[in-house]
Formats: sequence, C-alpha cells, structure tokens
Amino acid sequence: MLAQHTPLLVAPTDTTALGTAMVEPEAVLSDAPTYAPEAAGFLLLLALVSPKEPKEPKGK
Amino acid sequence: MVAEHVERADDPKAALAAIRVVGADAFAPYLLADAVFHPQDAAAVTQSFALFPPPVTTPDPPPAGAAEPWLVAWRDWAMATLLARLTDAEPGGALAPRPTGAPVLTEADQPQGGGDTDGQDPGADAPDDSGRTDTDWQRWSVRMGQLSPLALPGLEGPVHTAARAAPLALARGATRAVLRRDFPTAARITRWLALLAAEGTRVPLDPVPLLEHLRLHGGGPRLALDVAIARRLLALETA
Amino acid sequence: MTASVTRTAHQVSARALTWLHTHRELGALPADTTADLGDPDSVYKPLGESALAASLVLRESAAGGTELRLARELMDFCWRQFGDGDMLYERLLRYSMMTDPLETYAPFARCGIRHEPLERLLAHTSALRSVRGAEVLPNRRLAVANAARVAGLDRGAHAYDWSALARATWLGATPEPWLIDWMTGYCVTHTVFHLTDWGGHPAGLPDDLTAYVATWLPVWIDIWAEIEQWDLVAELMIVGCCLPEPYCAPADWERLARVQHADGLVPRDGDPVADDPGRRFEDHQHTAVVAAIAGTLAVSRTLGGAAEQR
Repeated sequence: MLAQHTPLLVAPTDTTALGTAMVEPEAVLSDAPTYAPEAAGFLLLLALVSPKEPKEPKGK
Repeated sequence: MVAEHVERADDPKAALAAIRVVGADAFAPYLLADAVFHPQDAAAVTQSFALFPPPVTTPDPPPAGAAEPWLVAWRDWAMATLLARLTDAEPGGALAPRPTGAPVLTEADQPQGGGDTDGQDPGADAPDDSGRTDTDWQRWSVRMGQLSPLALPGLEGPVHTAARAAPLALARGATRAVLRRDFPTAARITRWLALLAAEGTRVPLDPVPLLEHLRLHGGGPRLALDVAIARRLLALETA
Repeated sequence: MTASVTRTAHQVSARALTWLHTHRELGALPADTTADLGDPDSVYKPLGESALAASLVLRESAAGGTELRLARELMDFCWRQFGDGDMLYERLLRYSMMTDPLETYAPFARCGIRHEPLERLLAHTSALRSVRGAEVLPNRRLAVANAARVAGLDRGAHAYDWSALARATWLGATPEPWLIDWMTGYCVTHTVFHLTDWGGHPAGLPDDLTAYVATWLPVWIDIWAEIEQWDLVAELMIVGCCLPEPYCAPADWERLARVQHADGLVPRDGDPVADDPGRRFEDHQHTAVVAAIAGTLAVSRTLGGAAEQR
C-alpha cells in the first residue's frame, strides 16, 4: 500500500523540475513549410506523362 | 487506476510527481468514460499534494507575477477541485487554492488599431525585439494551451470565460502551432476549441479533422491524451 | 498607429522602388533577344514585374514626386526593353496560346502606354475558346482574366465569370488553414491579387473568401515571418492591403523595414545576401517588387481608400 512507502524526501530541485514539467512551453524552433521541390509532385507527374522534347526538325 | 500507477512504480517520488504533471486529466477516465474512482486513487493524489505542496498563497497572474508558477497553480487548482468533487469533500476542503486572473489577450492587431491601451498596464504590453507583445494571440494561445487540463467538463472559472471570449484567437493559435509542426501545443489549444464546440459555441475551425490530423501526425503520450480527451469532449469516441 | 504604418510603408516602398530604378540596367534583356525567349523567367518576367510595381505606384499616386518620377522612368525603361511593345506583339503573333504577352502588357495599358496592333491581336486571341480553354492552374487563369480586364477585354460576350474563376482556386474551397504549404501560400496571394486587381477593387474578393482571408492571414504572416520568408511575407502583406477592411499591422511593417537594407534591397529570405551586384539583383529583384507594391498599397489604404472608392 501507499502508506507503506518509506518517507520520501523532496529537494527544491524536484519541485522546480515538477513545475517545469507541468507547463511545457511551445517548441522553440518552428518547422513551418518552406520551398520544397520534392513536394511539387504534380510537376513530376506532368513531366512523366508529357512527351519528350522533339529533336530539332531536319533541314532547319 | 491512479493508485495502481503509484503502486507499480519503481520510483514512488517520480510517480507521485507524474500525477501532478498529468494533473486534472488523470480524472478524465472518471469524467468522460465509465472508469470507477476508488478511495486509493484519491489517496494517491492526496499524497502527491502532500509531497509537493502548492504554495499557500496563490501567485500573482502575469504580468505582475511570473507566468510559470501561476500556470502551475491553476493546474493544481483544477486537479484539487475535481478530486474534491469525486470524493464529495467538504466545500473549501480542496488541496489547492484558486488563483486569480486568466491569460490576458489584447487585440492589438485589429485593422482599425482600437483598444491597444484600454486599461492594461502599458508596460506589460510593450513589443519586444520581434515586435510581439506578451498579450498577443500567439502567446495567449500558447498559455491557454498550457492550461489545457482546465478544459474539462465540471471546471469553471476566469480561464474558461477567457476561452469563450476568444474562439478566434484559439483557432489562430491552433493553426499556427500545426503549421510550426508543434503538434503537442496544437493539441493542447485544440482542447479548448473542442470544449467550446461541445458547448455549442461557433468556432472558426472545425476541430474534428484537425484532431484526426494531430492524432496521425503527432507523437508522445501527452499529445495522445489531449487528443483523446478532445475527441471525448466532441463525442467522437465512446466507452 | 495607422500613421506609423503609413510612414513605415512609405519608407519601405520608396527605398525598394529606388533600388529597382538604380539597378534597372542589371535587368536589361540581352542584346540578341528575340520574341522566342529561350528562358522567359530570367529577364523577361522580372521586367514585367518591375513594370507592374511601377504601374501600381502610378495608379495609387500616393507616393511623393520623386517616387512618381522614378516609377515613370522605370515604366519607360521596361517598355523600351520590350521594343515599345513590338516584342510582345511578335511573341503573341508567333505563340497564340501564350498568355504572357497579355499579362506583361497589362501594366502598360493601365498607365496609358498602348500598342494598337497588339491590342487588336489580343482582342482576337483572348476571345478564342481555344485560348480560354487552355489547361492552366486556376490562380493562373485569374491572372489572365485580370490582365484582360485591365486591358479592357473583359466585357460583352467575352466577359469572364469571376465567381467561377474564384471558386476553382485553392482559396475558393476555404480549406483547412493549417495545411497550407509554401507554394500554396503563393497561390493564395495571387488569387487575391487578381480578384481585387491588386487592391484596386477590394470587393472583387467574394465575401466568404474575404472573411476567410481576414481570419487566417495573421497566422500565415506570423509563421512565415518567424522563418524569415520575407518574399512570401511581403506578398501576404499585399493581400492584407487588398481586403475591403485592410489588414496592415504596425509590427509587420516595422519588421519588414528592419530587414530592408540601407540601399533599398529587401532580402527574399534569411539566407546571406551575395555581394555581386548581378547576383543581388537576380536573387532579390522579385522581393523588391513585392515590397514596393506592398508599401504603395499600404500607404494608399491607410490614407483612406481603394482606387474604386475615390
């Protein structure tokens, strides 16, 4: 049972640590979206289904 | 459930501290689902308050006092209040006193620029190097998120009044947090949106797809708990 | 508070315009350029953007005498680069499906710089179902429609269905604001620019989209300012100026003024700025255009209006 625990000692640092854990701050660094070529999937798709550039026509 | 957690812990001190970190949310299974509250659970919480006693006098709200001890005091109040309710304690017998004040929001960025000096301490609202003030919607919403365990049915106070007065700032704060990919903060703020929506308040953001997004993208037990409680508040999950 | 925005915005736009004017020769077309344009994005597009900024300075007439002179000179410079419009004409003559001759011409037409043969050709080409039905992104389709409106081609049987054009965009779906990405951010800004003709016609943004933008714009400005995406931030600040009730936050303007260099350059992002003059112009010309437009519109709107309300 709970009461059977030996007396627990709390240091001031424990209290401070608890206070910090109770109020988690927001993330310091943002990871907001930025330019991402790999995210432009539709471009890749377009490139895959579009015809190859034709060669220079002869006689030109 | 709470008592079992302490019983099984290798480090009882840490286990008792963890009760306070989870805070009022430890009672969510009893409030939002059909878990049965046992006297041993109450004893564990009481022991946690005995080991880590809240200050006798409540800290001043910011800007007069520091934010963190005041946020801790509100969270302790929430837990103590729900414990008193679940144990049918005598009125006034709660283990933590009720703090004063709520996070202060000034609408300094409104288009017409009105209301930037209405009664607030002018020094408290001075912009910092990045042009932000301590009471803009960004910081206000983060602070409300730090008080997310208060977003439970049965708790009532100035923080709830502040939430109901500012669904737009909550919605902006949640959106900002998701875009920063700070999913735990987003989940905490979304709790308030879920509570407001559950009360019938119109919120500028549908919390349902947002919660699903957070559930699928976010990680960690705290986020999982915030999302689960918000989904219960919205009756998206039962039993 | 409003007065501080007016002052700061004027300073930012005047400096950006001066920088564009000072370095305009760095953006000149190579001497051997023809209407074929091997790489349209390198010089041709930036020239059109500089002309756009200058045309809006002139439209708003909210700047000082010096800035109005610089804007006129910049317009004239760009027009000469385009062979007094002949290059645009030849390009459209050769490539009927291309929309850039119309889009590039619009700022000049706005300022009364006209090219009669090009106008006749545009009236014919832009009315063809073949051109109207071309498969393009919805916000790009709006760009064409607005250019046609500015050039006087949006009328009669050939009037555009603005409501349908607006609905087809990402913004038109009033989507979850928390999923926007960087490229979609630009799609939103351009949707608003073209629907409102760069703030000249704020009512062009449907009411529900106005409410949506007003709700989420502060969030998007905040998150992209935090990671120093100044080009996108300044575009979003233009969006604020395009709303019926303009959103011009003093803190946003002070921040943009802080990142602007003493010579007027506005860095596109938080990365180091090169020393080489050609590279500086190439990298940051677009942001100077955006800052000049944003500042011009902010001055005008904080002083009391949109073009159509005067």
